[in-house]
Amino acid sequence: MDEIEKLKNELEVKTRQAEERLNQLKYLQADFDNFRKWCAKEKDTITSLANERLVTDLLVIFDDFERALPAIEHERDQAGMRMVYKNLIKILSDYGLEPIECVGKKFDPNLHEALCKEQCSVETGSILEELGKGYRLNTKVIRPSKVKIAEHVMEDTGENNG
Amino acid sequence: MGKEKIIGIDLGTSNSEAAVMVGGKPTIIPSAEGATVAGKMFPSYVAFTADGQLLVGEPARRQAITNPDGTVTAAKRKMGTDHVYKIYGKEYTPQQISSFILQKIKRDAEAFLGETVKKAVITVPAYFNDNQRTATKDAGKIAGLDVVRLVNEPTAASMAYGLDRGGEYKILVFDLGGGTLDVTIMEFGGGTFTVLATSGDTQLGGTDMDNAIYEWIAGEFRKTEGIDLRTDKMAVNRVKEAAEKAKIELSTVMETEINLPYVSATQAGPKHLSMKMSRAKLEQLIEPIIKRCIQPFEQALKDANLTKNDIQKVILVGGPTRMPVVQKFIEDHVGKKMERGIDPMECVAMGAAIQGAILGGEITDMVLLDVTPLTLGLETLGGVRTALIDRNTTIPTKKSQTFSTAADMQTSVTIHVLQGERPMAADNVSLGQFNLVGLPPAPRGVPQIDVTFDIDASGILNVSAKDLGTGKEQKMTITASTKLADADVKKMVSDAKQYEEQDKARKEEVEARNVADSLVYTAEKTKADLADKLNPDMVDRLNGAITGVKAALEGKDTAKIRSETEKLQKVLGDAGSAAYQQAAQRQAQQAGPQTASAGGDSAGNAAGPGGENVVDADFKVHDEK
Repeated sequence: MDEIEKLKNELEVKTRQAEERLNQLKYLQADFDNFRKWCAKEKDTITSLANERLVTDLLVIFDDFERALPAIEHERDQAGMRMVYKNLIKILSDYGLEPIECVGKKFDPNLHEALCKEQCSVETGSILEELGKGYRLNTKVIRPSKVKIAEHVMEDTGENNG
Repeated sequence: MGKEKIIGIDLGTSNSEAAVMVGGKPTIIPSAEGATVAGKMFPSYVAFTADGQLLVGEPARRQAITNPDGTVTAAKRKMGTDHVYKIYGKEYTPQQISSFILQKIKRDAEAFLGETVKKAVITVPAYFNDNQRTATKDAGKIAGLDVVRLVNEPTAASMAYGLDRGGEYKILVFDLGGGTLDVTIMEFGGGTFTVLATSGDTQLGGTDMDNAIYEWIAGEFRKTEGIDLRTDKMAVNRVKEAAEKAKIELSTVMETEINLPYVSATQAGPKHLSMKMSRAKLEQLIEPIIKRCIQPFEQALKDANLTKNDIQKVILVGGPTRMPVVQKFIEDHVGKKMERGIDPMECVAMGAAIQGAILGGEITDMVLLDVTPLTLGLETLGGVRTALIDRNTTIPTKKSQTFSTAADMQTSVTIHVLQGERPMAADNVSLGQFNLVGLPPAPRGVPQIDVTFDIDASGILNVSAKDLGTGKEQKMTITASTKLADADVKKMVSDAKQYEEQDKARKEEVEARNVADSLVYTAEKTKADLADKLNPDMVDRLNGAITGVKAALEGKDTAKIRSETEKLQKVLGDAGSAAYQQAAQRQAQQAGPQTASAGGDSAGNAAGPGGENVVDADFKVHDEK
């Protein structure tokens, strides 16, 4: 009798164990399936991100052109350089790069980074000057514009000091 | 009930990071805006704009200068106090401010995982008192997160390095962040971490280093050009960015160049900033900052009643500890090598994610899976090693491949099981071999022998070979395939790297030989098959080319073997097309006076589409080589 009881118990334990293991296996399988899907998604992200990083690093060259062009004295030399710059813009805009507009617009921290502000008669929050060009790559902001924004001053100045 | 993801959050003073277990590995959760140059994910900034908009993270940082009254940063320092932030007429507690950051992390984590996130493990400094801890938990609650546990930051970092898996030791955690230094000494034993002492400096960090570099660059420029860049907002911004970039680069290279064209202008024209910065210079600049780390470090040891000889493990946390000079300073000072292998900026969040996975039951009931340390394969024609299971494959796993015979009428094959990374069989370790006998005599390449490598969870390798034609099967079991000393594995992998070039050349040589050999076989077969269709001239050409390849095969000149093989290939092609032209002509002649349309079917079959079929068959012959 004892023997049967013991075996019964043992069987129960084993059955439960088997069920648990099977359950675990199912989870693991589902996990794996999900992981595979996740990896596929991740691969897409990485591919687009790889381009993004390269383009972002190249933006420095854009900046250099923007600064160099006005500094070239002879119109003739400038025209040539301007064409080189245009070609560069063309190539990268085919990849979805576009500059962010800012001067005269309202400051938007999703697009712009404020470096300083100036008290003036213009409405507070308007962008007065572009200190560094910002860019979007396929709608994603890869570098915000660096800007100077206005702070409206009335006769009665507030306690706001910046 | 599905297994819920519990994310780990490192809620920092100036930056926050989050991680989650994906496929059994802690993975950093990217912010929607993407990481900054230095890899920072979530700047700990919260802002309210004048028009009542809430901004969190990077966008909040971007407008901080213009909206100082509406922007809060470093709320962590106020956690657990009665401090109240008054913003545009409203009041916020530090935990409310922190909750906005947690909410943002929750949102981005959900976008990353594609599922709702309800639970989190959040890390806190070891010195946080009950009030500060409760406040942190409350922040989570406000953000809609069930904070299943708070973990000390140094504990999380230790877990990321796997120091929670047994053993007993004293650990020094040196956490140098953007603006704070925390030194913690802990003891691990019996499955728990106990904090023995903490010390630190709340005004010391990477920002000080960036400033020192910035000041140096600007100072040098003033010395050489006489222009003070510090008055020009745009130039200041560019120099600061360049300073941070130089600092990061100098962790991997000895010297970097800082180039800022058109950084300024005078009446004389544009001015460019161009200077070299060496690692030595950087180290000299930040030396005073590093020296300030000594005192908190000594204090922590003193408070723990220990000397540096008592420390067994050293863990570095925070971006600035990526710098070799910081690492060297600590290693020299403690006299121990630091733990390596995990990004110091990510290790706290990763450890929190591991803790989350343990609490969520994701880790405990997961069987620890092993990997094959070396590639497993077998020897094929010409002594080449053909890999079946690549190194680092997670086991259990099973791979099959079909092989064939190398000679006509071959009635047995030898399965020689090899382990190692070298492409030639002889350079690898032989695990054993067996023969599959009794194959029915057939031309080479015809029999199909399925070879299966099956490694079970305990690393036992079962190799079986089955002839698909007769169903005959032979097996062997190898028990030692995964049990190798680490040093042996390392040596075999490094040998493979060292001899890579040589091995490649040898393998190519053998492959060229195999190709040549099989082409000769094909050519001789073709010659016999098309005997009645080839003119004597073509037969002569074929014989000539075959002899050429055979002669080359006797020598050792791989280039010659290749060129002779190519010649034979060309002749063989010519022979094939000649044969079919002849056949087509014959067919056309036979069709004779019949109208094109009437005879189209039969003649067309042979000459037109039929011709294509033949080309196909020709390719097939090539395939078999």
